[in-house]
Amino acid sequence: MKKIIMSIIIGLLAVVFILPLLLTFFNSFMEPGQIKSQYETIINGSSDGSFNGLTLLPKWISLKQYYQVLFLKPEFLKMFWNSVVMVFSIIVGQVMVSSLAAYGFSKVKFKFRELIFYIYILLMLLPFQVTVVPNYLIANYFGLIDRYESIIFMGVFHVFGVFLLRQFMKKIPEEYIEAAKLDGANHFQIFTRIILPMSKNYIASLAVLLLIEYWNMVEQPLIFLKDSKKYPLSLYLSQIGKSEFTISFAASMIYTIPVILIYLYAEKYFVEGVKNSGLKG
Amino acid sequence: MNKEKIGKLTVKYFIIIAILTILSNSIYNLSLPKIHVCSVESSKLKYLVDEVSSIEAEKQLIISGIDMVKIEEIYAKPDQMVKVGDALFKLSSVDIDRLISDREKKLKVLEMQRDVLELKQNEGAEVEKNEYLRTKKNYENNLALYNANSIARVTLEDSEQIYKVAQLNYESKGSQKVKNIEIDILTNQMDIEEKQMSLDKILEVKDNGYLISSPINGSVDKVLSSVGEIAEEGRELIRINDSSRGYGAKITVSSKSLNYFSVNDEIDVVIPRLKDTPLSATIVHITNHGTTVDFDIIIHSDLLLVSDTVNVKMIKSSIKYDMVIPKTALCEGSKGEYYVWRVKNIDKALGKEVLVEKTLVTVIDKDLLNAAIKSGLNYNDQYVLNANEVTLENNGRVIIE
Repeated sequence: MKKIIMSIIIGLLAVVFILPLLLTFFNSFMEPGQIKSQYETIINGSSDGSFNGLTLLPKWISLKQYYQVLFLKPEFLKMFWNSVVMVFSIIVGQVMVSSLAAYGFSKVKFKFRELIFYIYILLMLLPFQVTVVPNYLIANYFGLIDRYESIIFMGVFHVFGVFLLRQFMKKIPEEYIEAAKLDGANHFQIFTRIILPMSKNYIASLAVLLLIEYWNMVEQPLIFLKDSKKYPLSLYLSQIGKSEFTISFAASMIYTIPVILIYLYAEKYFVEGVKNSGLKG
Repeated sequence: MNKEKIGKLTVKYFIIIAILTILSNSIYNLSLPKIHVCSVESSKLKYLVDEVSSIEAEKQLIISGIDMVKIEEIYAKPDQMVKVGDALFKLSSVDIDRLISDREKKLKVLEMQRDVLELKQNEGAEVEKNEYLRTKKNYENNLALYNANSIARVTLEDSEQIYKVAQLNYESKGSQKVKNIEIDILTNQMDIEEKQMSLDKILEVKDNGYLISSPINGSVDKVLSSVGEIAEEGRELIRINDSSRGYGAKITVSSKSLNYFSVNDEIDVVIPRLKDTPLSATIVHITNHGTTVDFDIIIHSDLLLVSDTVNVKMIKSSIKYDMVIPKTALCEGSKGEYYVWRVKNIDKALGKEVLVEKTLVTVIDKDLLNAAIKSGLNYNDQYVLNANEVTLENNGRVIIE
């Protein structure tokens, strides 16, 4: 009985959480005219208070929104690839840097190792708004403002990956390391032949978490990029505003699809990653 | 759905997006209407009249027959250009010679009559005059004798009476007689002159080889006789259009032209037959009928024929209007209202977009190519130049070529 009640409650909660996605999906097949009549009062902040309510199903199924987004807005597709380039670079970079750093912090003994690691963790606790100014100054000093590198480097050297992978690498038994050392392996060989293969799943988890985090980044490109042609898609959708809300649903769906597909593909790693990190993606 | 299928789906998704990205610019260019834009400028309008009309000679010369003379040959044809001295008709030499002889005789008779009248004129009222002088002298003598007491008063009064009667007779009847003779002389003189002129005309024809020639430059309008006919005096033989007085034409245009043209304006005209020859005409009269206006024009040229038509082209500039746009940019709505498509550059999240907005305008004046407007657009606003060639939507996106 308890199980049934819990299932119903969870089911209802699931419906509530999935409703925005369903609304976006179905409204993306609405005629732009219907979208305008449905949501104009909300978007433009009309004072007469007339609101017809949310409509899930369209009156006529139309691909006009997709046509307008995919065929009449070439800039949208360029922004899509801006997002892909930045996120892919961050994921690859951070995986490489984090795995090496995590190995160092977990398996290599050196003086003040724990102290440095805790300072590292401290940085992770600081919100973005605190670190943005020093990051901006450094990027400006190196001439990286209005370039992709200003965002990629910030993402690559983020602490989260180090923290996540170190947690796992600490669990790898020392015997593997010692056995390898006895066989004459150096640190690099131990890292590449023992640690990395054993950390595959966690690296995959890290990659999925990073994808979800950086695919939706808004503040970093807004601050570090000046040229709108370099903006990622997340920034476009946040600025879609009053003028283009008639195509916002189709744009959102196109934007969401890669994340959904990659989540479905790597679901196991995502759950594993969240469990081990103790953090929400 | 297993991992493999999801993986393939993901790859396909990215491939489709990649293909669309590569083709996006081409697809975008194909799908949006392409426009040419222009800015509003101040300019003058050109009023153009392009009308065709027939022409008429301003003056015609009619050549009539001399007298009972047979026409042997006709050289003139309708619409033939003629110059001074060109032969028109050949008359019978026999008839001409006969006429000359006849005229000379008549002239001689008149001259003889004139001599007789002159003699009579010289005589005048001689008899009455002599009688008057005689009675006057007699009276004067008697007066002298009376004063000398040689004759009686009665005798003097009788002579005075006779004198006065003679005087009266002389003054009234005598002068009347003189006047009658003078009238006869004048009449005779006129007859002589007339006959002389007639004779001179006939002699001219004879001297010209029995030919009637054109006295003016012009074109033959009509030939009203034929070979073998007798050309009586006063009968019309031929009509010639006098090119020295020009050719007139009338065109009817809109009353708007009164703002641009006035009497004595020079205008260009084209005769289709003489299209390589530039000609000009003058507006000599304008008649206003309210909505339309008649322009009477005169074309001065020796080359025209009455069968020609004239293509009148008149171009004049109006006052300078603040906003003038080409008519290719002007569209007309279903209710007769005019509008243009104003171009707007809008900053959107994905960058600048070019949109068009339907803007109603008020048309003040138009010529063949342009229109002057006064509301709707601002000076230096951009508008779609080829609005009548593309299909546009209000606030629709376009590409500027």
